[in-house]
Amino acid sequence: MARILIVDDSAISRMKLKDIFETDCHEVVGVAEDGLEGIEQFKILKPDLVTLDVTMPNMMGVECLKEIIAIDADANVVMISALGKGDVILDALNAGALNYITKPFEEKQVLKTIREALE
Amino acid sequence: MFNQYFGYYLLSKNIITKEKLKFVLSDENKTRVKLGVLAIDAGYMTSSEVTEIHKMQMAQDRRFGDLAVEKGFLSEDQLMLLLSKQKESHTTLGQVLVDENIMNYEDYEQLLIQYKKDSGFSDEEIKILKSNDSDAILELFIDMENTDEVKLFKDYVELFIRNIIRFVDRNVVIGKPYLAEAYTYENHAVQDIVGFYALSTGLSASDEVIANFATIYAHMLISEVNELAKDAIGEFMNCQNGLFISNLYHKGINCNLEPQDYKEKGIITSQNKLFVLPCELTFGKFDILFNIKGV
Repeated sequence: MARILIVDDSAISRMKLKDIFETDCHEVVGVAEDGLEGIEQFKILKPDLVTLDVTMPNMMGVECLKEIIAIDADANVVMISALGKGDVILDALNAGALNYITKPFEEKQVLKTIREALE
Repeated sequence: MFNQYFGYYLLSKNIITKEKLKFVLSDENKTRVKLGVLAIDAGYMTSSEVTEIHKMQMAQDRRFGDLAVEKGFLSEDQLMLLLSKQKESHTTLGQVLVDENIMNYEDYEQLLIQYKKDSGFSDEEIKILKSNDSDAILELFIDMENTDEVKLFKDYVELFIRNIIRFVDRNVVIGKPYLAEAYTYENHAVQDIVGFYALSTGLSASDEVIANFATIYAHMLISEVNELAKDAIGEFMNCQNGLFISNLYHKGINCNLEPQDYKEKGIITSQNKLFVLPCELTFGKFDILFNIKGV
């Protein structure tokens, strides 16, 4: 079981991800609606894993990722985004993301990816 | 796709109810198409010839096709063609309308003639609608001059319709697109694309359609335009545009997405190219908006 923080500006995506994680016996310790809130929650909650959207208001996902990695270089972050183009994926992986899932996502794919990220 | 176009036409004429249309177009209805309906659809036989063969069948245990050929209503070649069509078709709207006693063969034939007249479709265009070839159908409706902007719009719409079919309603039909200088909306889910192209993309619909659309897309009951409904429509736009941008990226064109926005009751004015594509679903109408602000 892992303690997970979900950072996504879409309420529907947050709800779907929370359902998927809790069905697989993980604990969703926090949800944040944008990058700034995500960083604050990361500092307080120190989760085992963060799922991070790319396109968000206030602070975009890759900037948020860089801040999180600056706080904890060993942070486990998986990006989940509708934007599946190569340069953004590469940016995120270079900045320290462990993996990248494109929306619309499937439950099996999400669980497989986070299991691999937590190994 | 012809079933959908003809079905929405019957709905607009109050000949069929929304519930009946949904049933007819749904998977649960798998009526085997009868040769008589196919023969009328193809224009090979008139309704009175079909009725005459049906009357003959009551008196003698013989197949429709054999009798029609014997009477000279069909040629052997036409019969072979109809039989092969019968194998590939699960259902036609016409068959269900006749089976459910909503109309008889004569009414059906008259409505088909009236539909062709009202829609302005030629026989060749009706053939395209019946082909289920979505690319050809798109070409049929978007008969604008094939500029780079129109090509971009076509690519966008093609993907949009595939996503509607995949996530919302496989019975989507498109109308004729037009260019607008001003557009009034009740609800407008909007997302800008920046980079090589500066585009503003959107989906516009009534409250009722937005709530239904959101319910299906989010897999949860959403009965009004609340924050969840807006979020669901925004997320659909986000996924559509994410895929569109990825497709552009594979062609060497780099763009990015801005966060989506949701606006209620307003007007869009555009000095640029604002394409509007009217679409229809089993639960109502919506418009796809595509505004090319710059390249």
